[in-house]
Amino acid sequence: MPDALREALAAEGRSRAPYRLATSPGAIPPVEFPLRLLPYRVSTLASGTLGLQPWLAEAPTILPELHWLPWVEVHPRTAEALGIDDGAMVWVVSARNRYRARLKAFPGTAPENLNAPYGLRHPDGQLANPLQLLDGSTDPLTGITSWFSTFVRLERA
Amino acid sequence: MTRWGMVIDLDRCTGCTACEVACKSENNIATVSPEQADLGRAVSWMKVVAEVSGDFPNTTMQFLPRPCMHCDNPPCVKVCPVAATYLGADGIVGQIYARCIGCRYCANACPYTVKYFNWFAPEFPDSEREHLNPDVSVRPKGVIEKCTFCHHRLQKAREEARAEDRELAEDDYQPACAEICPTSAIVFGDLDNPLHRVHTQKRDPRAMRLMEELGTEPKVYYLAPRA
Repeated sequence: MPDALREALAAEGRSRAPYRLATSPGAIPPVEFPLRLLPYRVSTLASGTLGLQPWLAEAPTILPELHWLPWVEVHPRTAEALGIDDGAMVWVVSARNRYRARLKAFPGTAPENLNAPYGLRHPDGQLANPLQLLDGSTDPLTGITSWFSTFVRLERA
Repeated sequence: MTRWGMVIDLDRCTGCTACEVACKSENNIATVSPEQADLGRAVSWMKVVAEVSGDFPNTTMQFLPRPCMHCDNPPCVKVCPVAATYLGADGIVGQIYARCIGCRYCANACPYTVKYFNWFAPEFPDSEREHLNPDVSVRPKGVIEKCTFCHHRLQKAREEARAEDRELAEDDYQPACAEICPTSAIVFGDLDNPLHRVHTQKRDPRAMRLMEELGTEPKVYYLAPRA
């Protein structure tokens, strides 16, 4: 989006997002939940409502070390600051719920965010759905769920 | 005689892994357990290799789909003690599962690490069993398997062309990965046929092959990304 347009929209009180973020970029996260959760859909996976063919779950992403298990992408510096190694199992905890995933240190993640793909289950069938962590707030204009509205923390599993 | 080969434009590849999914579905690739997958024993005849560089927000990713290179001078064929892997007259490096003794010499000789050993008997859940491809044999425990350029499709296309009394056209035979690629990054055809796109594309100034210095003469060409 051109800067001029963004500035014009900002002057009108509108951000670049098509819906209002309950946790806008300037929002201060609560102390107990310092990271912003960004759930996203992986192109090769369904939404998680259906069971996957095994060969989809075995190679759900181009990152070669990720198989079968749900993962959450964390910036390497953030993971280091938390003292959690790449590949370790973690709990992603919000005020509403939690789920277990494998930590993937990924430099493309913003240090204050977690990128959380959805659609995978644990091999034992246990659900691992980052969408269950959302706080349920909705965009006042469209009524759709504000998907990026949740602050979370990581705990070693 | 034809010389089947592939040209992959790395500028067009978005890393969507549709080629991987299509390959696994087409060729009845069996899965391994999560524990074995972590040990690197998952089989993927076509694998999109990703390279991440930089740090947020200036992170870039480059993708490289990597099938078997179907070398004209294949190291895997030279070391096979029982001629289970061979270079066909049409340039495709094949694998005869019934002849393979599982010595894995070929897997070690291949500089591209595209030969996979079956450590376990293949297991398919009922949901997958119904969708297995009847044109592709399931590999037993203890043998090597690899990308075949979907050779079974070539056999079928040849039969159809012969029945219709015509020459085999480029579109008659396409591997699953090339057929599914949404950006047409993967182009397949006869490298020696001027009517096929790969014949022109392999002469592109951006064209290169992996580890050319080894003299393996791969028949998979890559078009290097523009700066």
